[in-house]
Amino acid sequence: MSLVETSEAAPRRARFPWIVVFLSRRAAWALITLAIYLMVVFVFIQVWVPFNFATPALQGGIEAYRAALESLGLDRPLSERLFEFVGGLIRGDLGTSFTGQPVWDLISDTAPVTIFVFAVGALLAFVAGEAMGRFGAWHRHPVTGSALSTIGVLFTTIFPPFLVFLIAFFLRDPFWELREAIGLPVDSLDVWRDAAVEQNEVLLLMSLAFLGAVVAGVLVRTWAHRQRARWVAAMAIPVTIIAAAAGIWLAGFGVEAIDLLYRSDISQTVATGSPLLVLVGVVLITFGQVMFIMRVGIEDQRNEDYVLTARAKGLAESAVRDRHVARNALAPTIAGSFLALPTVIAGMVIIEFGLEVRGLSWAFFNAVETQDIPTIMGVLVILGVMGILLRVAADVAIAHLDPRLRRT
Amino acid sequence: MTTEAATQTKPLVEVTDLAKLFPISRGLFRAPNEFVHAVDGINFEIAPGESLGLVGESGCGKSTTGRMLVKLLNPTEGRIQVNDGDYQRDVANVSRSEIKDFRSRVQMIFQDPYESMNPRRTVFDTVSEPLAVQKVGTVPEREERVLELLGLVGLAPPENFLFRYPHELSGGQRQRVAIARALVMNPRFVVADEPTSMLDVSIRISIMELMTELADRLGVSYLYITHDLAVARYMCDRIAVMYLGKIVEIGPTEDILANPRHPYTRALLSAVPVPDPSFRRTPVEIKGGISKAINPPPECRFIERCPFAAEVCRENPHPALFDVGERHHAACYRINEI
Amino acid sequence: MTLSLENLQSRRVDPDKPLLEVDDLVMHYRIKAGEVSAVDNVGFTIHQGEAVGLVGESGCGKTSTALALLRLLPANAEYISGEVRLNGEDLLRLSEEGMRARRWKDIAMVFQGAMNSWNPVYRVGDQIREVLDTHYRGEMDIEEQNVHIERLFASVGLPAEMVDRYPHEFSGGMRQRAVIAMALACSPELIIADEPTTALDVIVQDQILKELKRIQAEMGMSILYISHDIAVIAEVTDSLGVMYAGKLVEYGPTSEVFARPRHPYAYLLLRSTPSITGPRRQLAPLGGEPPDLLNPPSGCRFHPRCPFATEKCVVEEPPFAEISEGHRVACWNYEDVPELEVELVR
Repeated sequence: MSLVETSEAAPRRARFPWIVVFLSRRAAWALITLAIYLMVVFVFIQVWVPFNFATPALQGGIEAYRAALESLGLDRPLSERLFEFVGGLIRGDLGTSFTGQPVWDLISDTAPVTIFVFAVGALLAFVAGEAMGRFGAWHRHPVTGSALSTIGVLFTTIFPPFLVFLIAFFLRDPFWELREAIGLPVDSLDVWRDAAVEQNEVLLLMSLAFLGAVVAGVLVRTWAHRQRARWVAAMAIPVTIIAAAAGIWLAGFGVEAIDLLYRSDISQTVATGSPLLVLVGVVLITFGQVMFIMRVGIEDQRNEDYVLTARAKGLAESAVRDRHVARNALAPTIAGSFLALPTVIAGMVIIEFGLEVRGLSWAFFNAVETQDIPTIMGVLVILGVMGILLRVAADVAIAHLDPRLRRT
Repeated sequence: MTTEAATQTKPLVEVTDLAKLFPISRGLFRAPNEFVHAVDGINFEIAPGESLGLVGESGCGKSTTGRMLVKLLNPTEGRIQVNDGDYQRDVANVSRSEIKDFRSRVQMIFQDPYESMNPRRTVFDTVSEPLAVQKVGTVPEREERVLELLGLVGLAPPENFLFRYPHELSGGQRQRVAIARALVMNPRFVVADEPTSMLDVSIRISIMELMTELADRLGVSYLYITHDLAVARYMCDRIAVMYLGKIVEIGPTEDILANPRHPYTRALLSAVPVPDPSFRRTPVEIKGGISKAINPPPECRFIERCPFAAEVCRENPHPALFDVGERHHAACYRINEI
Repeated sequence: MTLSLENLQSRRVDPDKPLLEVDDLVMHYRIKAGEVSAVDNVGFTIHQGEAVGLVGESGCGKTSTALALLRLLPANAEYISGEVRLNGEDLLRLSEEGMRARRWKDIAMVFQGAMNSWNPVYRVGDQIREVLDTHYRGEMDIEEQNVHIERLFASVGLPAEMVDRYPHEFSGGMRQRAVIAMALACSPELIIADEPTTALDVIVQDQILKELKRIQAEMGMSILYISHDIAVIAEVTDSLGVMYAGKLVEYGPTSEVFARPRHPYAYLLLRSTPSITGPRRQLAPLGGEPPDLLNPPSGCRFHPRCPFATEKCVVEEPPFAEISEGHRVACWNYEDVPELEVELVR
């Protein structure tokens, strides 16, 4: 029903591919949101929080306090501080921590681990949750359906981070024994002494390799479906992930990569937090949510008319399930999972901190404890930027999956 | 539903130059320069006890018109005058405090019996709600009134239906409840927006009969909005045919059916399937063309699709309604030639 | 095998040869409360090149019958008995794979509310391509498919550039045409059109019906029209069946059934249909509600609402018997049903 055209003429063809307009609209939104976010961060940290880095100096009397304030530049007017903050951001300079180090260095030291754990963990959880949701919901089998539901509920509700600690706690010793068994030296520095790369570079490499593997896997899967090669399609993602791992090994970073799964700070000699365990924790707390949302999506879509049409066309059940129902359930699943992200991040932060992994959360909590304002703001800025980028990425993915959303 | 009365007393509803334009947003900071002319300057009258059919295809503006008449939408331009004895108001001017009074006189019946009732309310709640809102009567009095109406709309025995929920009723029964609700305050005028199109054929007739009987008995006037000309024939004394926001033809029902003068009406009538296999319909004379209700050009709205479009149509603005018979008007420059 | 529209037009049609024979089809839905007798002993024959209609109100079983023919019923449906023979072969006894091979290729469907027949995330052309991939795997390369799809679009009056568009970019009438184009993709022998024009404006409806008629004639196809709109059925079908409460109550040549309906329900249905032509007839409403098929009435399922019912109707179900050439009725008292013009005294 259209008030616009009552004819049968075709609508106008757009001049550019949709993603151009879409991204530019999203970029405008991102910038505005970022600006508001930064303003709120600034006001909250600099204005609202009554205590500051100089507070300990109060012990020496009010004069010492004032002197400390002056030395930190906290007595300058707000507008001046704001100007410096914004100016620094534009230059890419996040300021200097009250401990003396540039904030950027602090972040670049600790962020890679967190990014690795989050990227790989969340993505793995999504892939696993989507598959379980899809297969589990399709046949409406009473046994598998209930089993999956139970597992999903358990992992979403009863397994919050601290229970993951318990698991990690019990797994810790066997985990380290495994390390000896594979032949890695107990001391990480032995591994890295002759390494040509830095710890953070390897972490980023692993993250990118995994992301690339998943993307490549999805593309291969789509192509395989076109070619009606069902087995290729099913195995696509696992194969690409294994291929990526093999690639890292063959490139000579294999040992270093495994070492990084064991510890996040190579200068530590004790068995501190293992990024792999944090990753496992992230997957555990996330996949249940994704699975649920996917199941709801599948149930929602399977009663649509086009599903009946697909069957009437003579398609096999698996094709109906995957190419039509699951495909349509995917966009809402991404959108829904995105809403669950704060929970995932919060869980990850707690697990990271609790397992003594020196990631972004460690840097953040440390800074909060010591009122290290520049660091706090720096971390919040980075988190904000990452969050906004993620949102844009999710929007692009959703618009790609559902063409009706491309005009927004 | 006598039409003699119509010419003698003041019309119950008088619509003058009614228009509704919807702006098309151009984004956050730019004022709209394009408008959808959903309803673009229409005029008609409804006499007391008369029923007028508003007929047209989707997008012609009939539903929008209906909503303006019951004040669910505010007109961009024009007047809707309601004359009910001492009550003489322009609907657009009805203020917040006067709205209850207005709603006791003008009511609406909606198309979808499955959507228009709150699924959490019983039949009694639904039908008595106007009474409750207007604070009329005590609860036992309201119950009596509701029972009276349920009987009136053919839900018998009424006691059985009083406390049922919508999901326990069939479509036809729900629509009867909707009619009961519309009539509970004794309105003078009811706008019915496709009240039977979602019902089965055999139920349709009973609802239509019910509505005509109630009109006769209670003196209610209808604006009957429908796309189904056959239904309009049975329900309405007069029909107004709408196209892209304009009334292109208006007149007594049988007159229009027997002698359509506007090319669009003729196309519409010739397209309606007839339940008689031996009947040969005249070929539908209409062109496929672009017709926009967005910032429409000044000439005749129908020009792109009209098989009879000529120079006179291109050079002049959209035609006014010309006389073509006894209270029968058509908006076309070429009525005498085609 | 090269597939082209030209091949279709040379199909020879023998109007006496049966294409689809439905024989005493019985089907139930199993629900918690029991079994719903949705299709009960329905039998009719569609000949080559014939247009047949199934008319009835909501819940009468016409859509269930249509879905039953292609075995597209939901999981809780059970086939109790009967045969559905396509060119002599019983579709109900085929394996699932065998049935899939015949779906769309031999019998295609145009669905009710064709608005939603399209998957919103794929282009229309690609969804038609899916049909070709399913049934002509390996026989057509991409280029040949493209040519075929464009020809299909042309045959229903759609511009070729719309092939790469998404369904939401089409108007309602265009979507319906596209559905018909897709239905023709494998040049089926039979198209089942379930309420093909229900949500469309009357002028677009006229165009679509004309289109279907033309295609049927040019390609020698049979069509099974399912509709609650008697007027539409009157215009496009050669024979029609009237369904009520899961049963076929009357079947015969369209002109005959309309001229003199013999079953009381058919008679009352015609009398309750307003028309814009002819004298303004007094309409006769049908009292009561359709029965609950969980516990259908005894004897004739229509007897509670039937003005001609006698004691026998309550007790014994009437057979679906032939009263004249090709005309069958399920009623004990069909001779009491008057001519349409006679005023019904109640």
